[in-house]
Formats: sequence, structure tokens, C-alpha cells
Amino acid sequence: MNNDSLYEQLIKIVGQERVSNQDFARLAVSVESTAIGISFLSPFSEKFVLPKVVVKPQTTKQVVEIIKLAIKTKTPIIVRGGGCGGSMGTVSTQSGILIDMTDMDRIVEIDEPSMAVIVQAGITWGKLRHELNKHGFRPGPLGPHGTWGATIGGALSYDSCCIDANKYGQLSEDVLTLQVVLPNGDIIETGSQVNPKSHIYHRYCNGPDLAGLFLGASGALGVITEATVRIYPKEKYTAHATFGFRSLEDACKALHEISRSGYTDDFWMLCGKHTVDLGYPQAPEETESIVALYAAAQYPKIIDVRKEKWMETAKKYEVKELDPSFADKYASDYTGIATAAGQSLSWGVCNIWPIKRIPEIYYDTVKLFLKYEDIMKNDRRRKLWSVVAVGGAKHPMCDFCYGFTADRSDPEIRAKAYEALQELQKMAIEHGAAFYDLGRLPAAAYLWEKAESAYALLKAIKKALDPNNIMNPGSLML
Amino acid sequence: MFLNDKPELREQLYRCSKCGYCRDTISDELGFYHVCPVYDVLRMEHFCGRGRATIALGLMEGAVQFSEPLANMVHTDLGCGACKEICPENIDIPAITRALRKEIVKSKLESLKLKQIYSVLEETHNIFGEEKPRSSWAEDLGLPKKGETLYFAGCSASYTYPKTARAIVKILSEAGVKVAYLGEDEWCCGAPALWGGYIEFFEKIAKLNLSAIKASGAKTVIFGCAVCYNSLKTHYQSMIGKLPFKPLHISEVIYDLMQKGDVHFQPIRRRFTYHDPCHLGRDEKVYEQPREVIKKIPEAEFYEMPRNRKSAFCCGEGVVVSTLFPNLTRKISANRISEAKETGADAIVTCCPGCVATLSKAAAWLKSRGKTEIEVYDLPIIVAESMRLKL
Repeated sequence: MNNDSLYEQLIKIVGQERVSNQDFARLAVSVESTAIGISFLSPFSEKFVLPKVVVKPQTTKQVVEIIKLAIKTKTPIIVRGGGCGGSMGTVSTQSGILIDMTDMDRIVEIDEPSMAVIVQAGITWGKLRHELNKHGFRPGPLGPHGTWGATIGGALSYDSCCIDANKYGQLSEDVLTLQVVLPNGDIIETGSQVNPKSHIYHRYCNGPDLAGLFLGASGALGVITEATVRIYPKEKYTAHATFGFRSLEDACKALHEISRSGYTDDFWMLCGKHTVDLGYPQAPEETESIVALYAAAQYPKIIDVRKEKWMETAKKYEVKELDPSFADKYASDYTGIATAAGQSLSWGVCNIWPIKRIPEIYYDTVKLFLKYEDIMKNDRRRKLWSVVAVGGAKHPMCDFCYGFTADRSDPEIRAKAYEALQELQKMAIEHGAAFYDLGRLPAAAYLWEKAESAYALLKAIKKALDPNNIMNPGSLML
Repeated sequence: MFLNDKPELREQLYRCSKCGYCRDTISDELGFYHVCPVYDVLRMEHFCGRGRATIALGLMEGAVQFSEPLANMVHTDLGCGACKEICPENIDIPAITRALRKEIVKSKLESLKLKQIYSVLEETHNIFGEEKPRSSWAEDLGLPKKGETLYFAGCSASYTYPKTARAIVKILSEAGVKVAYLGEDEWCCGAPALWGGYIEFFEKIAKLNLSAIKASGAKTVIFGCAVCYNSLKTHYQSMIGKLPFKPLHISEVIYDLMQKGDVHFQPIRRRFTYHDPCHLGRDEKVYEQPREVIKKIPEAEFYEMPRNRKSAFCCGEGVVVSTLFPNLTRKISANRISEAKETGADAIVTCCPGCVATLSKAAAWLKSRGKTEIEVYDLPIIVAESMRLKL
């Protein structure tokens, strides 16, 4: 089927205004966050192509029809959520149909007694939070770096680390049931919803955990169209504070001790020396690490207890509370996190580590950055690189984000920066890092080299579910 | 090469982190409930700020080329600046749009309708192609051409809303402020040329207006139109450096007069809400003065729309957009009318004749379908009514 015919067929499914085959429309959806996500720039443009057509379904039924059309025409499918990822998981290596999920953005039901919300997968975190807020609820984790514009489906497909995941865990951990359209066009429900009579939302029942198969699968095994996730009462009281430590080791120990006290803070952010100036240029000279802590609770007494613990720990490590401007910046609207992740880490990578191993990976990262210092851009923030660990995964794990700035406009610098990034990922795999947003990162190849059996199993599953290899081909190296 | 003359915009396009805040953010914390009015209606990525920035980068890098469909897409941008306002990286999408439109004109890819806007402006010096004297509204007012304080009326007040122009002059006169007026020496501020991509023509208009203002001896220039105000205060200024006069919007002037006790309001029993014009609010940061003036009117009730101040939704006018894509404008303005009505207000006050025209059209359209009913006023009209001035 030629492109025009494909376009016409898609119009029949979703209507004229929700399909485009214009080159600029296809280009607009061929990017993700971070430098490597700009697929049309070299050296990435050697691998990536524009999709043939962009389509925006509104219903699961339309997704099914699109997939059936793709099967019939042997056309690859790429599924895109908010476009805020950083692993090139939603850019095309084979030109096909790009499904933009952001019009599947309805709240299907807020089931207050079950403490669960059922949503279409294209709903943004911003909309979900806003709608839950009206009912006095919140999702546990509050979203990945895209914060407001990222989608729930995207966060599930990439197992995204999230704000407030220190306490609540990543969103995948809060999934109760999923609705997925398989690569053959069938719709399946998982967990308690396997039973069509059920109005219960529970994940671990009715056999194996089918939901787990699709979480973090980078869209390679099916299209997540609906998800039921846990919700929590929205806290009324919050607190935050910032401390400057004289060593990174002390900062990590302190974070762990605070959690051992029995009250896990909602979120925290830890910056190494090289990042301190980025967000806190007024820090005292001897500051090697800054820790910003956030807590939320239903009762003021809990907040008081947590603040007491912070101060007690600070006293033990002989550190003083710094002025709150750093924490204010990050706690007020999380805009700072998006900025830090998107800009300072424009050439970067994030993966999951236990807090206790932060110093080890931190020092090796700095060594590697020094090797590539000549390509790092002295940008308007006057910092070459940044290394930030955040409570983006459930304690004692964390989301470790490390990256640098380099001039994206210079093809030679881009090539060199990509080389640095590949080396960074190789180093991370060698150190045992856990990658959550694998997509099409070079890290996938380094990982599967070391995990042949797991890779073989994954390939067998892919072949069983998607014999024509139409679902996001190339993602996860499948 | 595209944007070679704008290194700061080139840098911004490479810097954009694609976070997507500018597409469709809903955030109680940020006070935004959707961001892009065009994306809100047309729903494809290329219609939001991030998509536009990606396409501009693609043009710079040769990944896509200018074409008529691309030109049409570029011309749907309202230039309302909500994307710029929410952007954590300060990417100036409206400036990028203006640069794209300049290139479109250079490549002769602009639509026939846009070319007509240019011709009309060039021939008649006003956006409506009106041939009658620009100063008709002021015939009986005896305004001098020279003076320390000048009133710049703009096209809309001169031709479509002469009562607004007269209200401004009479309010100022009542408060003891004597104003001069350029009459036929006043041209359109040039905004349609600026936002249409005819930059050289805009510069020509700016020079003519600046020369006329200089000849008037004005130290202060008062504007009733948010677009004119923004054109002179920001865009003329960026062209020539510091302006040789102080630009003020009428809402700022009335607020100051009110503070000094030079204007006195009589009761108006109406329930008002206020619509922030993009070029007055986000562009020039005039948010509070109009609200304070409305709230000062005895017996008037005031209701705020959920999207206000920096997150206010555009009326849909978009300088040239309402002419090029009237259906898009109508959908956007109808949404804004519904939002205003939901506050419980029975009248919208705004501070720009462009917004008044756009919102009034949508209000009439909705009323004709029996959907909703709401009045739309420019602030000077309400103030004049409250001061019991005869227009």
C-alpha cells in the first residue's frame, strides 16, 4: 500500500483532522527530550527516519483498527505518548505509522472506595493530577521529567522514575490493571480485569502478572490503551529543607539514616560538587554536596517529626540548613527538575542505583567527563556537567542522572558527545546500573551482551506476540 | 540560511529540551489549564510551541523545506506567548514565528489573504482598507496635533470603535489631562506587517510613526490598543533603542488617575470578568491595573476566570490569524466566552479593541445559536459609563 492509500485508510478510522502525512507534521513527532532524541540531527539521522504518517486515535477501538491496518499493510507502528522520553524509544528506525496517544486522555473512572483511577493511557500527568486534586486525591508518584506534559502510558512503557517515587515507587509499581492492544489487534485486560465480570482492581491474581510483560517494554509488545493505578489522599501539609554537606559520602549516609528512622520522605535531590553552583551558587565554599528534602503528610505532627529527624541528622553530620531558595525552586512546581534534566543533562543518562553506591558511580562519571571536557559547552549556566541523584525510585534506590552540555548545533561536537554518551552507558552497565528507560539506547546492546538468556527469552516473547515485528521494531533491540 | 541573522533564536532552537510544557499543560501548581489555544482546537503536535520549535530547527538543519502547507501551519500561530510564558528554557516561540513568517514572505509562499492585508495596509495606512479620514472620530473634539501627552488611537478605535477613542479622550479630559492627536499623520502601528512577516514594511511604518510622534513633541504616548502598545513599546524600541517618549496603556493611566483621585466612578450594577489581552498581559506585564479599575466601580461585581494573567487564554484574534483562519479564531474565542460565562459574569471587560471585536463576534455567534449570552466591553467604555460621560 502506498503512503497516500495508507493516509486515506487512516482518515477513515479517525477522521481527517487527526491524521497528517505532511513532512513537517511527521518531523514534529520525531523528537524526544535530551539531545539524542532529536532524530533528524547527525549522527542520529543515519539511523532514524520520519514516520510515513501521524495518527491520533481517541478510542481503543480505533487503536485496534490502526493495528489491523498495519498488519494488513505490513507497516511498522511507533507509539508515542507525551514525547518527553530520552531513550529514542518513540523515534522511527523503520518508517511507518506513528500513533500519537495524546488524544486518548480521558479519565474513565475515579473509584474512590477502591482508591484507584482508570485512565486512558494518553492522559498527561498534569491532567491526572488536576482531576484527582478535585476529589482530594493524588497519584503516588507525580510524574517523570516531563512533569505535566508526559503521559501515563509513556511512563508505564518506559518504567519512568518519578517525582515522589522515594516514598511511592515508580508508577509501574502502582499499576493495578492494564488494557493492552496486542500486535495482532486483540484487546487484553490484566489482573482482576481478566475476568470481564470483575469490578475489582487488583494486579496479582488470575495467574501470572501479565501487566508486568508490558511495563517497561518500550512499546515493543503492544499498545497500552488504559491503565488502572492506585491513588492516595492528597496531603495537606508539606515541608522542605536544604543542607550542605562536606562530603558526598556523608550526604548519602544521612539520606539513608533519615529513611531508617521510619518515615520515608516523599522526595529528595542530591547534587554533587559540580552541580552545586547550578542550582545554588551561594553555597558555602566547602560544600561538596547539597541535599534537598521534601516531606508531605496528612497531619502536622508527622511533618514536625520528620523535620526533627532532618535536624537531628544534620546535627550528627555537623551540617547547617541552607537558605531555602534551592529547595523552593524545586519544590514549588518542579519546573526546575525539568530544566535540570532537559538542559543540563541534554547529553545524559539516568538509571537506578542504590543510594549507598552513589559516590562510586559519581567519581567514575566525573573522570569520564574530564576526558571529554573539550567538547562540553560553557553555556549560560556556566556549568559543564551536572550529576544529580533524586528520590525517583523507591528507597533505598534512587534515580541517578548524569550528563553534560555540549553544543548541539555543531555536527562534530554532536558526534563526539554521542561517543561520550555511549561510553557513559557502557560504564554504567559495567557498574551494574539498572536502566529503566532502555528504548533504543546503546545501553541495550551492552546489556544483552551480558544477558544472553534473558535476551533470548525476550526475543521469543516478541516473536510469539508480534510475528510480523510491526510493534516499534528495533526498540529494546527487538 | 534560515535564522542566520538571529543567533539568539538559533541557540534557543538547539536548546529546547522538548519537555512539552508548552503543548497542553494542566497544572494547579503553575496555574495553567491548557497552554496553546491553537493546539487545543487542532490537536496535532505541529500546532503547539514545541512542534513549531522542532519544525523551525528542522528547517535550519535542512530536514524539511518551506512549502505552502508549512506556511499555512506557521500562520496559525496566534503569537499569544503562553508557550513562552510557561517555558522553563525561555524559548521565544512568538519571535521564532515572526522569523519563520519573514522567511515565508521572502520565499513568496504567503497566502493570497496575507498579501491582501499587506496591500490594504500599504494603500490606506490602516488594516481595514478604510478610505475615509482616520481622524473622523475626533472631528468635533478639537484635539491639537502637538502636546506633551499624545493619544495614539490605532486602527480599530479609529474606524471600528470610535466610541472607545472618544471615551479615552473624554476620560482624560475630565481628569484634567490634555491630549494631542496625530490625526492623518498616525499610521497603523504596523503589527499586521510585523506578524505577517513583512518586516521591512513594518520598519518603514515604525519610522513614519516615530517621526510623527517626535514632531508632536510628546513626552508621553497613551494607547488604548494592547497591540499598538506592544508594537511601540517593545518592537519599535527593539528596532531603535530607547524610545524618546514614555508609552503608557490607558488602563495604567486610568489606574494612576484613580489613585490620585482625579477620576470618580458612579455605580454600575453588572457582573464583570476581565480578559487579559496577550500583548498587554504576558507581553507587557500589565495585569493588575485594569482589574483594580473595574473593582473600584461602585456596585460592580468582579469574577476571575480560571485562566487569568500569565495563563490567560488568547481570544483567538492573533493579529493576522483571525483574517486568515476565521473558523479557528471562532472556536478559540467561543471557548473563551464559555469560560467567562462560567464565572457567573454577564459582561467581559478587556483592554484591546482587537479582543473586543473577536470576543464580540463569538458572543454574537453563540447567542444566535441560543447557547449563551454575554456582553463585551473595552475598559474605557465602562469607565466612561461609570463617570457618566457623554460619548
